[in-house]
Amino acid sequence: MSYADSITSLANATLTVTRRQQAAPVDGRDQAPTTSTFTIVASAQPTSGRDLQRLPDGKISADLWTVYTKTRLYLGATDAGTEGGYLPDLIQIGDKQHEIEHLEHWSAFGAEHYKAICRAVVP
Amino acid sequence: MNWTTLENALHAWVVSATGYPANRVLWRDRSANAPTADHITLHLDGPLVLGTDEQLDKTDLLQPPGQEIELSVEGDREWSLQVECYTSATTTSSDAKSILSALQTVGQLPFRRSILSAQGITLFDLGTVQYAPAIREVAFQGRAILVMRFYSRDVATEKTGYIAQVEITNTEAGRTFLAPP
Repeated sequence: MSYADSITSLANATLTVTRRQQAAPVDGRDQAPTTSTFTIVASAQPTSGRDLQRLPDGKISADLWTVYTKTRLYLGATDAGTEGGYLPDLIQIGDKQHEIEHLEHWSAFGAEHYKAICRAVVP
Repeated sequence: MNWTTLENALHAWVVSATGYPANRVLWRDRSANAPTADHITLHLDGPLVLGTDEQLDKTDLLQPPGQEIELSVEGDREWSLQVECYTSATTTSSDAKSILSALQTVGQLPFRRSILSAQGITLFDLGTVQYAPAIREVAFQGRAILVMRFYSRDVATEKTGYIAQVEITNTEAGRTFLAPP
């Protein structure tokens, strides 16, 4: 029995991913990354729901999503390798961008897929 | 205070004194990936206002109307620059404490200090290097911290004038003029 299409079958959304390649810093300050976008077929599930945090400077909301997809996602790294020099991917879920902060690569049993936990980007 | 100029001078000075490439000397509190190679981070703290600022005024009647008087406030400021060094080596002259020790000494050479003095920055406290290697992933990483102090001068100015408006009457023609109109 093959599970090859199970991730795709369980997908509930087509999401836009923004991939960011770091630019060299200037005068010790980071520069805007070079970006590219592509779409993934994925299942996006709320991880924690939305939390309201009461901070001294006011309230902010934060939420986490878990995304399952067959497309390779980047957590980013500065050392050598495919992800070297990249920042974590941004995934548009609903009306907000979410940054990947945890990534799992499941490669066995013919259903190779990635599980990513993403946190909403608060400007 | 022109912060960009101040920061750029400090960054260029650290690059010059340590010999590290400019892209390995970074301002701290970044949202980007931390470098895995040897690098230095900078953090500027302050200012401390020294004494009481001077309040000055000077008059130049050749300036445009309303700008004949220049009011200014200026005074000395004290800053601290926290320099942190991260190295793969934990001994020898390429470890973190050696790099920051070189910053203390080489940074005083006239050419290096001129990078600071060109922007009105004076180094007066070389600080103490504290060496505290720590585990990063699977190996010890050389880590050292140094806090140095500087003086600079901050100036704020604004212009004003004695006379807001002048009215001139030509008694023969019976016409009145206002300046500025």
